[in-house]
Amino acid sequence: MEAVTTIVPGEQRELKNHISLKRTIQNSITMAGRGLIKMRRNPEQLFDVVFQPILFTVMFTYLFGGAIAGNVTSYLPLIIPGILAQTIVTASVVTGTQLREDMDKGIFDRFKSMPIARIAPLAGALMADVIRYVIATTLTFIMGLIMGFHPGGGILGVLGASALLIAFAWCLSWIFAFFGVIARSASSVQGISMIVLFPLTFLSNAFVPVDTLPGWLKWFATMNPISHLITAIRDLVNHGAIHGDFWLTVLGAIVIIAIFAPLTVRAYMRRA
Amino acid sequence: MTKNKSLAIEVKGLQKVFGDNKAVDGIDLEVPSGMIYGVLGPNGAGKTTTINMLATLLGPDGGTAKIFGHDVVKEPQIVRQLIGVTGQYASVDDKLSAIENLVIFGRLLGLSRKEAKAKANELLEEFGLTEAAKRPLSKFSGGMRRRLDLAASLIAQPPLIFLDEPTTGLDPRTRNQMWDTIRRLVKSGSTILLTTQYLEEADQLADRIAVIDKGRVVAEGTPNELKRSIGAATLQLQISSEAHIAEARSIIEKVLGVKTQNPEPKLITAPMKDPDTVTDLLVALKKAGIKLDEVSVQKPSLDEVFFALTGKEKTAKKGEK
Repeated sequence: MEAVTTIVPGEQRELKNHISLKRTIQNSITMAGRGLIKMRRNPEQLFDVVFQPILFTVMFTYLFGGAIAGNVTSYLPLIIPGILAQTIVTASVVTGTQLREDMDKGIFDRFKSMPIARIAPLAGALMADVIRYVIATTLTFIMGLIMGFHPGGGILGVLGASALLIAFAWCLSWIFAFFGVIARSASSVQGISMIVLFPLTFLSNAFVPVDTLPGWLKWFATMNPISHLITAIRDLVNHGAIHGDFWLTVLGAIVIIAIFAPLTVRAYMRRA
Repeated sequence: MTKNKSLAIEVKGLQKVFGDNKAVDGIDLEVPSGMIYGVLGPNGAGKTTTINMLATLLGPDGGTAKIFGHDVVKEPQIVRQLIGVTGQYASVDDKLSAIENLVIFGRLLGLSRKEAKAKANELLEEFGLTEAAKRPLSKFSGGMRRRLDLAASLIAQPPLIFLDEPTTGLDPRTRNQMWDTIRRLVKSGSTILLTTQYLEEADQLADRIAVIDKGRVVAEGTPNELKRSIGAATLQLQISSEAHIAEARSIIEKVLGVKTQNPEPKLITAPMKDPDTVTDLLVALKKAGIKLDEVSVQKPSLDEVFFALTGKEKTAKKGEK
């Protein structure tokens, strides 16, 4: 072991107290790369986005299809977007809680002590999880196609819907990342998030037409942001169309990220 | 300003409060460039909290800290470019291999893919980890992890390195390797701030030591200055025959010029100020025909250091964190 190369003294270095946008993006991409390596080493991390779409699509379609739409085939245009939204929302919860588990390890202390963009460890981890949403979306569509679904919006409609879902899920995951950072433990976040999300996803237009619901519930299901997401996806998948619900969803996603990304980074920096 | 620049670390009245516990209660430190500075103290004395504040991981509640003249609160990104931190718990990624860890850190620091790989290989070689480079870290021993952790801190060749209890939990052989590595680092021009619970470690490595207790600096100086302030080592002589005790004591007192004690029937203890005089003493005892069963030297322990410096028993500090 030879002597290490001579160190440049602290006072002779050129230093900036600011990190450029370019460095921020580079740092985030490097962190996303780290997330992908971890996923490859730990494929069980992907179980939920592999099995939930398969299980839910088969289960709900055959269970409700006859009762709600008369037969399975005519239920598919209604249920597939519903399951897509439900799957992607639960997947984003898991993303947030997994981030928290990651943060409890010593490596995040090192990230904090390095001259990198503060947002990069968080943004990068959430970016890597885009792969989870891609898997969930693809598998749900494939299951639908196998069961006889013919998307009226064609390939463009399906791709557009997928892009909307994935982008929405990424923005949404910042909410759970925030709760992940401030909560005492990762499992408590998952528990509470599920209690909130279960009614949000079911009390929507995901599985049944809202007209059949009693007045108060109908009101809630119509207001529910998840319903807007589902309607936007149905428009795209079944008709290749973009209506008001699409823009509402996009606006909602932007509002979420504008509020929760800075909050999350700030909370993350405060944790010792 | 020019005066401050020659200091690697300048800390004035640094404070950190957790609830009603003053973890760091007004610490002052001045660490000149190019030396190993030891921060010695028991668990819960505030060592890690202090390092975390200096490394910009934790905001101070009072006082100021400057790294090469840059304030840790006002210029955190500059400070981060000047430091490397190796914590008590290895801050590397378990799921990744050694080389993947180092390449990611290199990339984060702005190296190209190629440069990051080259740097990683260079460091793995230097720390004797080349053979384990592709193994997942879960198969690494504690010593290998610490070495990798230290290697990760050196990618940017920072002029100041924080080592938080770098050898806690390591076996003696690995600990000696770590000591060699630390000595080599300082030769290359780095400044090192090292925390430890072990007096011996501070003694072996540090050019200057600050002893901290309950979030305050209770003593500061070179290892020799501190030892002198604490008291010298004790010479213990086990005499074969009780009949010779009185004679032996008078010889010891005459040769060493100190007072002796006789705590057990055949045991004589004496403070040992100058180890050279011990040879004379042994010769004198041999001439007088006094047989010895055992000769040993008792160094001051950390407990004694704290007893001497704080006037309290170490056990009284239990339950603090």
